[in-house]
Amino acid sequence: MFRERIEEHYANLTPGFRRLADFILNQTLDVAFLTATELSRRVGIDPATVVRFSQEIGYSGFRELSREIKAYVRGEIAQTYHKAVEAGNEEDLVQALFASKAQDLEQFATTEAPHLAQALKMLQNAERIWIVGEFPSYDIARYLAESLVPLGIPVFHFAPSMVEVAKATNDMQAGDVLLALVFGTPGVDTGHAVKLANAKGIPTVCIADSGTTLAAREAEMAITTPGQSPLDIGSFAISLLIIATLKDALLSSKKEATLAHAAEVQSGIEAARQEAPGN
Amino acid sequence: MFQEQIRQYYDSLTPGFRKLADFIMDHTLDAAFLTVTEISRRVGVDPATVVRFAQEIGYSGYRELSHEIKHYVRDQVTTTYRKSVEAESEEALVHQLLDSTRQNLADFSMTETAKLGEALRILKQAPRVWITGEGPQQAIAQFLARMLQVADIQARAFAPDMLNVAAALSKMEPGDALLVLAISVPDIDSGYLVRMAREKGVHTITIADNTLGAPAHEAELVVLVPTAGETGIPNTGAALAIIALIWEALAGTTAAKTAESFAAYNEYLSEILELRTHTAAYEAILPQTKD
Repeated sequence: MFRERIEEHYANLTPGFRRLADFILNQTLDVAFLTATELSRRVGIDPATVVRFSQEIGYSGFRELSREIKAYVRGEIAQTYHKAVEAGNEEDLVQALFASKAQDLEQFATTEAPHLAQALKMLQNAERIWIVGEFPSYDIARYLAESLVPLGIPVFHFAPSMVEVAKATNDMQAGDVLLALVFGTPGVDTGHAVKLANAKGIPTVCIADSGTTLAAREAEMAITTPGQSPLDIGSFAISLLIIATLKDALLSSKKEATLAHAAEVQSGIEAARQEAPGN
Repeated sequence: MFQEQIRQYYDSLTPGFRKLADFIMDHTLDAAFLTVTEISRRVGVDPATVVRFAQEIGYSGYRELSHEIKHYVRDQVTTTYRKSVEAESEEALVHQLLDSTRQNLADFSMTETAKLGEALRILKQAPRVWITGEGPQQAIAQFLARMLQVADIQARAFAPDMLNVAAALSKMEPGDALLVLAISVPDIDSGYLVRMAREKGVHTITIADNTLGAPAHEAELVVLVPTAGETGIPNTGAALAIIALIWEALAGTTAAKTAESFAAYNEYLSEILELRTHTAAYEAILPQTKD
């Protein structure tokens, strides 16, 4: 463990190494999400020093040290979570969950945000959007499709059953984009839908909580969301957060239409109320 | 550059010159558009002092100093302009939205954790959980119910229209819980639903981004999720994450069951895949195509 190793070597460390050691021991949570360069900047030392420090205390490099720190932090969070579950203390549980999600989001923002931006660009330029998802992801596909009505372009959603895929693929045309959602399931059939759309020359985007699922491997643009909870079950928090972000981004690029749509819905409700005051 | 010049001479400047130096450093934008007379009036010194100040810090006169200040300000304005154009790129938009979401989550965890904890306690003890949402959130209600079933929790989603509300109400029992999702949508039906469910002894929880709507107004417990953002339309990232967290917290308490369910599904999935590859019937039912 890095803590033991640091303590073991601490007495012989140079002042620069000690600053780094102190930082790692005191701000372990932060360190877990910093690159060597970011860490060196935070501590005010050279990036090469970070690497040499890792080697000094017995690692092959910062990569190995960082991996151990990440595992440690994950374990700590899991422990808090387990304790909260055992104690039946919902508030602690919520706090532990928030801490773990904040980290997942941080990680997503650093590594996946550029992909999300590219997907956004593809969808903004689409003439029609198809959204496919199976089992729980089908509901998410439906949510997204229904939320995107203000865009003023056709947005279809479907489950990747054999017949549905055959029909959707047949109806797809140049200018369309297929968005595949795979959360919490292997998503084999969704992968097939992506494959068929690709073969037809339809640009494909996949948002999945596994980067190795068939749909993610087949899609032109793949975005991976963190999908693991500290308690060894799946997690949909960041996945849904990203779906909402994509939706908000698409809607805000057509802000006028979105606001006009909301006003129309509101006045429609009012009209309905006057028509049928008994309601 | 004038800033360096001013810094270099600052210590040896007279009080009058210092006042000028301070004004230029702190109000550079203003200074760029003022004549000698105007700047002298603003700072309260003699116009001649302005000229001598410029010479003191190394310029031929105020003209040269002013020229440099104007140049600097123009550069700054161009940079800012370029930045705001960049903020319109897709990547900037994504980061802007994620930043707002992060802020919303932080705000939520500061103020609403206790409320969410209470909601979880109610949901956990309820023999059955009923979930509904207006508009597109109906799909989220369906998602939540489906996933709760996987976690071996009795949950059912229904549409908030009159018929479905009547049907759901007739099946609700005292002690059940009703969860209403009402985030940034106009609510029409779920307000009545909440009131009637409550009268029936059902625990009512509303997740909303304001307390003004009927379902929030009528509910026993309101979990308020922030949807603040900078784009002019509600930012729903935090709200959806929080709904997913409800599942995670509840399913986490039955983690073993949830894992078991998923394992069973996956087993059936493999079996289906196996059947597909070995079913001659597939070939038989498909129309034969000839090369």
